[in-house]
Amino acid sequence: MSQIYQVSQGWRRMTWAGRLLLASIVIGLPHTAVGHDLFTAYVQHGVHLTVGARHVDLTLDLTFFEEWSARERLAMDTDGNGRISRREVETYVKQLAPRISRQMKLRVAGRELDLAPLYDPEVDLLANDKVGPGHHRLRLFFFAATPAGMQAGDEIVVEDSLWPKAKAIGTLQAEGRDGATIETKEIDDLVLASARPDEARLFKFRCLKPPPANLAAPKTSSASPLKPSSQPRIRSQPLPAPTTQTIP
Amino acid sequence: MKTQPPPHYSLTLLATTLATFFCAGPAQSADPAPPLPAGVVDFAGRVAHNHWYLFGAEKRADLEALNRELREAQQQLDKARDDDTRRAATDRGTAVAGRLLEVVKACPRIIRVDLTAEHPVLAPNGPFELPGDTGALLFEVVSGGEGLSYSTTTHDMSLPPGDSSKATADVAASGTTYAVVGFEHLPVGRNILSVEFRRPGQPAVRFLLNLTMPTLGRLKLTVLSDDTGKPAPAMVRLVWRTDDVTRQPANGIEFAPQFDGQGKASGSRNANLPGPLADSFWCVPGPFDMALSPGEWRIGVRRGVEHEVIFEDVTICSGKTLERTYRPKRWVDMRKRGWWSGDDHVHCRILSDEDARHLMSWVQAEDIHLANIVKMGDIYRTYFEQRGFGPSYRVVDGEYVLSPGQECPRSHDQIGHTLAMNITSMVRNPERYFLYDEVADTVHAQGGLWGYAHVNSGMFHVHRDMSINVPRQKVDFVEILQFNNLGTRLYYEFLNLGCKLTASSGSDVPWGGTVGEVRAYACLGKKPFSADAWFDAFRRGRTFTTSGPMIEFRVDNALPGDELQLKADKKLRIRARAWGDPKRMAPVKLEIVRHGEVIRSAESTDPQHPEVQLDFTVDAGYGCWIAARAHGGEGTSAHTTPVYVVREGLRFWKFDGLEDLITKRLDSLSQIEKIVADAKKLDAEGKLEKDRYRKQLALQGDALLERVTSARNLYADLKRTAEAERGRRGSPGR
Repeated sequence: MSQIYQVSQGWRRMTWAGRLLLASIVIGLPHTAVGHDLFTAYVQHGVHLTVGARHVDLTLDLTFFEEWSARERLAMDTDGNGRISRREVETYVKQLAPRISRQMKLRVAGRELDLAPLYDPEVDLLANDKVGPGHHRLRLFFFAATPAGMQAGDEIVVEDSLWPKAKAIGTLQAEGRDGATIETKEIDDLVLASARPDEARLFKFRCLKPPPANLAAPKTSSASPLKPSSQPRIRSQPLPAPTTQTIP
Repeated sequence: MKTQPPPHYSLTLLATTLATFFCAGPAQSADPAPPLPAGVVDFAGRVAHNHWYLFGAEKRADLEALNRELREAQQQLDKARDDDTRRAATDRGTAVAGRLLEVVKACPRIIRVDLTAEHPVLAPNGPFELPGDTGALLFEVVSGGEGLSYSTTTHDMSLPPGDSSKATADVAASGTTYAVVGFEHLPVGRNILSVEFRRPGQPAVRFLLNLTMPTLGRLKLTVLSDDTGKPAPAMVRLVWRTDDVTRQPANGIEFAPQFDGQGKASGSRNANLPGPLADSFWCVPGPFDMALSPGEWRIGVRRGVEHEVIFEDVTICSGKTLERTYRPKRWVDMRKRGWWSGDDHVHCRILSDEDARHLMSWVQAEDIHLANIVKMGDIYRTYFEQRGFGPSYRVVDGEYVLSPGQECPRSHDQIGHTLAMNITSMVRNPERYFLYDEVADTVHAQGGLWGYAHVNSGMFHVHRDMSINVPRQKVDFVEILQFNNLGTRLYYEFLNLGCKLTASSGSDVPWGGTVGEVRAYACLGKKPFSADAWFDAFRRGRTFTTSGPMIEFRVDNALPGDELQLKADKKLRIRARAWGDPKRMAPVKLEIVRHGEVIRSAESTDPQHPEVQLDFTVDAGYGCWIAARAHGGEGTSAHTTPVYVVREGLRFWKFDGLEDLITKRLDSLSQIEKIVADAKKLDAEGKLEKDRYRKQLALQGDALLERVTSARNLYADLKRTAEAERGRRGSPGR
């Protein structure tokens, strides 16, 4: 029994030593990274907008490159054992939730929509559950009711203030359903500056053809955003691809 | 069964907050509406998104609609400013929650647990069959008394022994709780699982559950080359529709060891391409045979942009083998037109034959004929080591070549990243690291090609060194397409100064998604393919870059990269064609660009044939550059190297905009002078002993400033040239 206890204490000491080491590395890294314009210090914001007759679905894929991933992984690893468990990720996301909801806005023709979370966020550690530099992806799901009177030419703007201190690489993808046609608007620079406290990153889309206002809710087995809907078995089928996509 | 290990975690967000809000919301009302059950919104999201199979596919749409309605009700509550609005929102939420309860109670897989009994039991008591290596159980837990609540948890059964057979569910102290408990990484066969129901202030109640997983099925999958009909490497995606999670194919290559822990160090590759191509695919070198959970699966097969993409839904049956053979069809064969694909920017270690085999499988799976495999360096060290450089270190398999090159020098805060192809040795001198021209000269002396990375995005202040070395004619190529982002601002600025630059692109894996997601085609014409022929064509500038559409472009009979020399103005015939995969790229838009401005465009109209052509004439004027670019309807892009139209005695520059263009370049040079001055100052103060980049910048600063001065002189010469040309050009100039 005492032997087990001693082993346990030794492990604990190692864990904390390791944790301190990791903390020093990771805390040090972002300071350097923020100052340095390293590619590894970016977060890729993949913005996927789907407009249908009833809902506007917004899915964000945030891919954290090495240094921001290291920082977030350290935050996830609450037991300090250098590995991230499922339970730790759950806790991490619960802590993120209030901030995430505040930092996303959606406007159509200048009018802010009531953007609500659609599902729980998903974290994909990309086959690496260790603390330290890596890549990981955080997928966020939102939706809002399609505004009445949406018109061709209306600008749809996603205001994204997530991880404001990180530089961002923006990617846009637009999809129209129920007869709607949406296009992405090019933005000036692929590499977006860090978001300022009072200024979000803007991802812009344009409605080319609004969905019919009188279209009933689809009765088919509805697909969630980014998931292919149930389709007949076919080969070489046209991809269930968006109508337009631009990585600006 | 070999399953993909990555934790794909679906996570709880709002239950507590929402439950609290829903419960507390109506409290101020004179006639409060009854509160919504705790946890109902989170529960609705979880069963709609992750565990719909418990209810059957026919209920999926209903669950989705209920989830949205509940969340809309919550939004209404958030926005409510008075009791009436709040009550209306709560009433709406209550009604939806009632409908959800009906669906839940009717679930055929529900397990009832009565904790009020002296000896609590499960009904039914099992065994419970889960659909595969992930799944969920739905419990109706009665604790006695009034109340209704919901809870959700998910457990990873791959945890170490001790934790790996135990799951917990939180239930309310009284009333009925509907708890959905999800599982990941379940073992095969029959297993005993301990489920513990925890109630506030009361001892936990534990049950042992018999779980069974159905007998696995088996998938034998072969991908054939459309050229030979024989098995070929391919990019493959396997998704179990029950949980929509990707599994690693049995022989899917894990590239992590070859990535030096850099970038996305995994064999699971998400292309920076539109739609489902952005999802995870694995490179498989050939046929495979693996056990899979029974049920519906979606198989995806890609073989690079010239081939159609295949997605097929299949059913894997327990104890049975499904054999599938796919032959992705080419929608275009650019080789037959003389154009051969390349990727100028692939980071991957090649130190062994096995490394080479793995990477060769990947470039063949993505159908890239020439891959520039770049050893990367910084001022400290190198990464992605190679066995050597030069023709004898190329890896050749038929018409596919891995050619070692380099991405070095790279400075992030100073003057940008550079690439070299077809070198015979690595060119790197940390003590002269910022003198990029010396690297360019050495690379050229080796017979190689030298250029800049990330010009599309302008990252790492690449404009600074471009401002020194492009006008000095040290630069062969620039990356204008990366991450499916066509960025031409810097490219056009230098072209408009009358500087020739070949358009290129590279995936930058492992930071990029997959080899060849963007690619540069070089025109070999009728010459047989070889690495040397490809580099020769590239050196001539006979390229276009693409992430999807293909382009053919001629000005008179000149191809991209060619120079048309004219003694006088004349009509030029421009012929261009852009086309794309009929199954995914419609409509295709084609634009002809002169001096950065679109002079003609057209868009395909037949959705079955995304193809568009232009054939027209323009005046040569006083010379110009003319290029073609294209956009696929799904968001891909392409761009050619220009044809340079040169009037005798004149540059092909954009004469009208010269002052602004030169001012930008002089500003870039001023930035270099400033960072050198700053570094020297800090060095004099002894503050750079731990900052090798800036320390070396200070030490090498004088030599770098000599180059800046040389460049300033060149821009001054350009101004004088402009003045000299002014008299020979009409007004306004073109």
